Amino acid sequence: MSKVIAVGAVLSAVSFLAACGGGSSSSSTAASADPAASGAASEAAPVELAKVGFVMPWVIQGEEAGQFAALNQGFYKEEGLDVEIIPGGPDVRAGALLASNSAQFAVFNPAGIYSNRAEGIPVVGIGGINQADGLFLMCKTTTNIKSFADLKGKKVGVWLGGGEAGIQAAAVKSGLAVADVEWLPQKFSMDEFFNDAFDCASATEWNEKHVVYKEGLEPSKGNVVELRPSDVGLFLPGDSIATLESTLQEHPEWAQGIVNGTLRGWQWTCSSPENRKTAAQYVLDAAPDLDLDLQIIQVDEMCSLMAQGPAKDSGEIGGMAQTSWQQSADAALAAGQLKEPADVASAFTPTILDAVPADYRTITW
Amino acid sequence: MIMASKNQRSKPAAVWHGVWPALLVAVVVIGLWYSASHFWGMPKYILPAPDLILKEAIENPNSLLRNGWVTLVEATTGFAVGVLLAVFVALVLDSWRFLEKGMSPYLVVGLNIPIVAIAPAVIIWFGFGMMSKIVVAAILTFFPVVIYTLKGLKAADRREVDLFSVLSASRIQGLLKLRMPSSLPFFFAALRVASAASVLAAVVAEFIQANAGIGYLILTAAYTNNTPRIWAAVAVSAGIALLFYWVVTVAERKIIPWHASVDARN
Repeated sequence: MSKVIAVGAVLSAVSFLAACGGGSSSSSTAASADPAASGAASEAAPVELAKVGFVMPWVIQGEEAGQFAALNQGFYKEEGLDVEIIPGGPDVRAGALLASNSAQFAVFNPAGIYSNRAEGIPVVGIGGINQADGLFLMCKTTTNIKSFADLKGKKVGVWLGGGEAGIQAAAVKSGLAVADVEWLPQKFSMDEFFNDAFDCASATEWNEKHVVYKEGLEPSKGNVVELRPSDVGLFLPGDSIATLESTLQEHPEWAQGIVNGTLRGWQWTCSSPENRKTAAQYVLDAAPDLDLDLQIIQVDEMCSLMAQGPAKDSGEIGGMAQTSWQQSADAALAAGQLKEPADVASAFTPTILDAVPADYRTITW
Repeated sequence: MIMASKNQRSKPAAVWHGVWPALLVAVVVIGLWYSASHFWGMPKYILPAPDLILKEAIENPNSLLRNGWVTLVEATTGFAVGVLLAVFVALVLDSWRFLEKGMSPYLVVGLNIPIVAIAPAVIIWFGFGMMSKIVVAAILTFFPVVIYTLKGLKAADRREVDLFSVLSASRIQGLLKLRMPSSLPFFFAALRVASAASVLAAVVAEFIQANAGIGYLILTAAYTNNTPRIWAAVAVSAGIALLFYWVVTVAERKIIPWHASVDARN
């Protein structure tokens, strides 16, 4: 019997240790809206805030600085929202999180919206963030690759499940068939690029590009070539704000609040170098293991991607151009990510975006 | 008195005798590793030099400790929950043969669940914080413990079972005084497997979605090409698993010192 008690004691000790940690760690999981409350809104009237979850496209990083700025500057709160920013990750299925009501809003690229809709999850785009998805290829010059047309028979790393569409579509547009290239799944690192396991590897403007540059490999030094889908006339939108059709119908005010707050957050972030640094610091407050300098670079790159293409022409951020979204749908189809052509017109709606105050959509970049 | 001082001298010697082969292996491996990195040109992205990893650990101890603590808490909580549930289920199944027959195939299936397949679903069900990681750790703890404990409950010596029967021992007496003690070696074997599995489970779940923990640290370090940090995080994770294993082993030695498996290790 004493042995049984002893076993129980060991388990209790383990449970106690766990309990000791439980309290302190809850703050280290999802970033909540509380920092905003403590920072900016002590003077705000005590209004009933609606709690909503907003899933990010990746782990917390500068790519999401505008959302963190909106949180910390109290922009979401002014919209009546208590926003919980939920980090994404390699295998976070944002569509399933929306469908299960674990979150109400998420950042997708249009191809992600199409594939969710094809699976029967009626996700709908309500506002744009990046006008270009910022995904491209980096190849060492030793591979003799100079354009997408040179990829025939080459080993090319892609992030399967969405990241490959634009790059494969660019190869197709350059006269290749998808099967002409050996597409290989790339890890969330540039290891295979550095050790020449791939001839070309996928990169984002805001992260991998700078990781590679830091190792002394960059176009200006003549040792790396960068191939962008825009080189062959493909402009694919990137991060876009989305929700379920049902949420949009039942709570249009939440959708309006998320889009207003997010665009305002980015507008604030991109408006000055000081703000970009502050926004990067907000990101670091939520994820202290990151490197501030790299996050500031990420924020700069994001501001650049927001201000490109249609935003540059119209002078307004947040737009969702039909032609760009159509190109995304075509690319996803060409890459085999979609089995049937997507119904582009129903995959996004301009109603929320059209109601965003014009002041929130200007950008100084 | 002379005997006592002799014993005191011999104890460190005995410890040294047990430890030195492992230390020698460590010295040789680290020496080769150091040479490969500094003299034979092994690139940093394959395996950074041991001194670079140590430097990362010394320069950023807070990051490793904070994230290591999160993983430790997730793994220990998951482990405790998984073990308690497994013991309860094992006792229920043991006393209800029909249920055991019905459940056994599924327990074996459960033992072979690929963690990367279930973790995303668990995150959807249990949210984005620590709870989902705890649940993943508990699942990976539960199945080996329930299977081995169930097996252990049936492992009592036939003659002892007969003796209990002859002496008209009650069912509860048979369980507490014979079958549960007999199951303990199986139970501890399962705990050793589960202790490592629970740490691995927490790390993998963090890798999928988190903003704290060793898995998260490894993911973000890989993403920014910080290989020394990846390996420092791996070392912390291995340290947690070793600590866990050690606690289970010590508990085993205290609780069932009579068992042959413990005796052999001693």
